[in-house]
Amino acid sequence: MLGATAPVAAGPNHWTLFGPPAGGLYPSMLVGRTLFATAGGLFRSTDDGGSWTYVGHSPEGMVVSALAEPGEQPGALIGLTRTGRLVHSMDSGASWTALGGPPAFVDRLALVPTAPTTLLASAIDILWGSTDLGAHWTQLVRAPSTIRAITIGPGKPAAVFLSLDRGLLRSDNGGHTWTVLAARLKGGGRLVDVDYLVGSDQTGTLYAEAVLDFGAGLVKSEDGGWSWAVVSERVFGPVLADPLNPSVLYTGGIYSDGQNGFWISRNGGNSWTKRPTTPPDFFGSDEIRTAFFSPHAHALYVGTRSHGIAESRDGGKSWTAGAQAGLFSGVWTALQFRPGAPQEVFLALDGLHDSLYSSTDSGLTWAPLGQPDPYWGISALGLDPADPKLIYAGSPVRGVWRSVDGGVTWEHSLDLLSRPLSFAFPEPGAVLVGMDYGVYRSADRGKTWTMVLAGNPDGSPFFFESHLVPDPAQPRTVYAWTDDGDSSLLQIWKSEDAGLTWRELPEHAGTLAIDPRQPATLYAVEAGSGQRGGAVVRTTDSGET
Amino acid sequence: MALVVDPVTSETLYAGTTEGVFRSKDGGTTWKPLAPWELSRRDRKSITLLVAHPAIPHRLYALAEDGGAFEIQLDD
Repeated sequence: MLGATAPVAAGPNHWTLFGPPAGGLYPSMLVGRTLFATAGGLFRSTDDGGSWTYVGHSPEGMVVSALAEPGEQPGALIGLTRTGRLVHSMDSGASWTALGGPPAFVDRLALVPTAPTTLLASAIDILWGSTDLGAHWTQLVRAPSTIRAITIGPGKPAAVFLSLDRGLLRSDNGGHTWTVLAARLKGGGRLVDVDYLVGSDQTGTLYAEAVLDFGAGLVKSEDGGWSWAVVSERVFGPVLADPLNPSVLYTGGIYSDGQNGFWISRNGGNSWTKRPTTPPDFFGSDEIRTAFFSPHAHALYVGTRSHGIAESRDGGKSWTAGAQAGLFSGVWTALQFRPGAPQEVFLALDGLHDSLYSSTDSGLTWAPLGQPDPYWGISALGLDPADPKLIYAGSPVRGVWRSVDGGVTWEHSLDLLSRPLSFAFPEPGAVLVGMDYGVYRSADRGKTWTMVLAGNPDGSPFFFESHLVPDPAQPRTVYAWTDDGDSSLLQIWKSEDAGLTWRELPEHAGTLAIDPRQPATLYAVEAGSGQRGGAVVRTTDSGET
Repeated sequence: MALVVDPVTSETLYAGTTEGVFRSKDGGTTWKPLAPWELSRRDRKSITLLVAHPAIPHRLYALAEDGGAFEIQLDD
């Protein structure tokens, strides 16, 4: 049984964390011989990543999203919460107290290693500095655009770099004065946008993922950021410079000829070789958030978005991910209340293991259920209202799984290379699943399936996404809103015969919601909206006009 | 984007957007930020799912793309 991550009683008008300590993986770090990772909470490993212990949360119940070790005090940690506040711990993360901070929500935190009581904190475009571990703060600089990252450069004394939305700044005196680094590239072109910056301690070389005025790729500087050269235009994602061999670089999420994966370069980034991973190609749907080297374990670690920490003990030749016991990681994808028993709630995440949790006390305590797919997490969840033991789970890449014993054991129900997004239960025994490429229906509790809505009849490509919205008053009526992938073609469909047949409604909109008190009233976001900000439209006659 | 209708008060909508969670009390005509979205700017940019509690009025849940699950109890 797992405790909740936060005070369970939601504060009035105040967002609090909900669920077990899982979800998300944030910067990990090595402090002495202890590894820390934040994944819905703070985790600690004292056996080189073999097993992990949940340590706790910062005050406010929010996870710590960045850590820094302030020098001589053993067990002391400075953290940045996801609320943008600074906290500190004197007992290796077991307990936390609020630390004074600048008068703004902090986005990024860094410690100057050569002056371990000096903190740097950024808030939008302002960099703040404290020389007394957060007791007092001074505004150091207002950058010309938003600060994306604070990087302590290689070498001693270390320069401080600010990666901006547009450009790069360098300071050689702890942040008191700054120089705008030239954006020109050797051989022509300009460095427009720096997404991250990493340095090699051995050579002093800086690497950055950058948007160029003629594309994007990996760039490097061998003179402290004053001039840059393109290393590869086929490399995207954070790069780790091997601390023992400066010509060796690692990265994940490269999009080279359509191939993702974990890659190694042995010549400073000029050419790359894909390395095997366990499970195979798991980096292909993931991204690396952080990377570090443990000299004690002689191991390389990378923290991923959805699959926890991957480890290599052979210099990056092979990688194993998600094998770390006790570390819960992933992205929450589904939250469902048991129909008719709302004190029972389920949470699912896209993670390698422990992807499904249930609580029977409205979220006070949580217990993990069985894992449907051994390699992938959960993209959607469906609780059959007629049978409390019958649960459906969508795999992000492998169709539908089914459990007939309340989530303890699972079997593959619909084996398709498609991602379920939502379920609906239009009549006893029948289930619908909205997937990436259409809507499927089963009339026998998920034993067999038939595609019932499959894109446009003229043969144009299938939907990219199809979401189901059941009518709470008339279960045989189900709506589906579909998206071609970039919101250029949004459609709403309606079935009044439990999902057997569908017809398109006139409104070209997406993100559909139904009024549970007046189910004839539907709301939808107009086409051409989403991130571009479309209007909400309403119908009061079940979508007919 | 996520959209949900308040189960107690028709005309009240909640929308999870790239800028946080918003509420409309007039059927979607006008919108205001629901509450200070106290996550950092990095986290609040993506709300993937909003769920209203089926039995407790004015209680809302949000899933954020970058990891967190959150709840809020609204005064009204």
